[in-house]
Amino acid sequence: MPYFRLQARLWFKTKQLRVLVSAAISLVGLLFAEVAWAERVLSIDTIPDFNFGTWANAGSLSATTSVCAASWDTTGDKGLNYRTLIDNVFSATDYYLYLGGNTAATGNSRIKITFEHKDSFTSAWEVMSVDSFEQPQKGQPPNCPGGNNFQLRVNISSTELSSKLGGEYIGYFSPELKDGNLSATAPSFSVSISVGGVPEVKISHLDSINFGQHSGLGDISATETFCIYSSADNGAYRISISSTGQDAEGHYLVATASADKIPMAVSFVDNGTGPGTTALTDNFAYGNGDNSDTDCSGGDNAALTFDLQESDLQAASTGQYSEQITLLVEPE
Amino acid sequence: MKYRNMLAIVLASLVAAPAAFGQLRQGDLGLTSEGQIDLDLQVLDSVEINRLANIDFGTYGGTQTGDIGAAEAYCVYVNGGDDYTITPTSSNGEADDDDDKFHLLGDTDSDQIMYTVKFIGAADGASDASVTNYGEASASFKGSVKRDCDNTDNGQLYIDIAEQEIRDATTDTYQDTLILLVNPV
Repeated sequence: MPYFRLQARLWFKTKQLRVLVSAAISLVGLLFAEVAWAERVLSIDTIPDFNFGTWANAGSLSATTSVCAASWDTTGDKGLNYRTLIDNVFSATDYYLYLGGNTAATGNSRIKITFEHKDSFTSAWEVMSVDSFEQPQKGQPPNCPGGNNFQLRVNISSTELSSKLGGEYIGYFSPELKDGNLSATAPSFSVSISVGGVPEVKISHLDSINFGQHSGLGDISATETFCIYSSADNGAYRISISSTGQDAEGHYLVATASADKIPMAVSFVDNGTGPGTTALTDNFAYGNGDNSDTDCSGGDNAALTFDLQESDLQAASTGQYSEQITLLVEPE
Repeated sequence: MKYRNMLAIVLASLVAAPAAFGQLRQGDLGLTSEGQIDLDLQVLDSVEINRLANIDFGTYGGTQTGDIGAAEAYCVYVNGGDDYTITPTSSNGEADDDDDKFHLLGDTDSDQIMYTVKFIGAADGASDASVTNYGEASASFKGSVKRDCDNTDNGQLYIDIAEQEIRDATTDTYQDTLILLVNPV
């Protein structure tokens, strides 16, 4: 092969190699360019915990915090849209705080709350849903040099609070941002509140008593069982009774058509079957009620027994006798 | 017919329902909780006569003269210590000669000795009371609130037999069972 031809061939090969190298370099350049275009920042700061302290048994509650939600195109140096969601860590259905942190709690042992979100640069609050992302908001650069943009408000209604059992409630929630196929999360935060700082009580399942007729012989006794709920420690409570015909000696059935009275002994017991064991005149009796269910799960856990002695009944004139007994329960 | 009877029972129940009922109130959840219940009782009339004893007039004859009489004190309880009356009757029934009076009946000859009954609402003094006719209610007296009248008597009956009734009677043993029905007033 002639020398120039060899050189030409070598040049061609060199050129070919240069082209290939150039092409390779261009391709790598394009790849780098693609990487530079995809360099987006999406992040949200840790949301501080919300602690509402003790509810004062009146009024709805609300608290707001703001953190930085960055969604930024660092290449183009411009903000990108993001959408946000607050998850309930323990429930996919709604936002709840749980009595004692027991996530199995339901009914009056959990408190429903609401979250609202808005961007600092918009005016409208948007109620959040546990299962869907909010409307797009414009993100800020990393660290939000212009100020935090992500505002979150927690609301608890007094109606919701007033129907709940006393105790400590807490729930855990986690924020999530989304921008296209990019997502970011932050550590979960808690919302907590103490309800019933002053223990509450409830007496229910009460029934009136009809002793029937007394025709001269025998004592009469009747026991009324009922439910006492107390949110105090161990369900502790005290109970007292009063009656319209009461005097220093005790309680009476009073004739409806005269001033005649029939002495009546009243005794109390802290169980749901009776009969009563602790005499009640103008004193207190103490017990431990249900501290988890205001309805005692449908059962009774206390009883009052009313006793009428034969001799007192025989000393009573013929007629109708009645009395109204008021039972007062207080937390202890 | 069955349903008519049931309706009658229901209506009767409604009429008999104590008027005071209806104040039942359950407690509310709160710092304190107050409930109300009503109690109701109907006290019926109740009476009792006790501490009675039989009366034995003994024998009469020979040189005996004059009327004879005997008193028996007893206890009458009326609930509430309310008033009562006594309606006396007897196993022999009213006297043949005077249907306002009682009579002892001879064991063998069916001869009669009439007698009168008097009541008083005290442990003694019935002999001065007015006569109560056979089967008629006595005057009203006040009962005791205690069934045993605290082991005392609060009433007395007096039986009076006129001398002539005895003299008209054949020799025999005479007796009667006096039945005292106490009625609350």
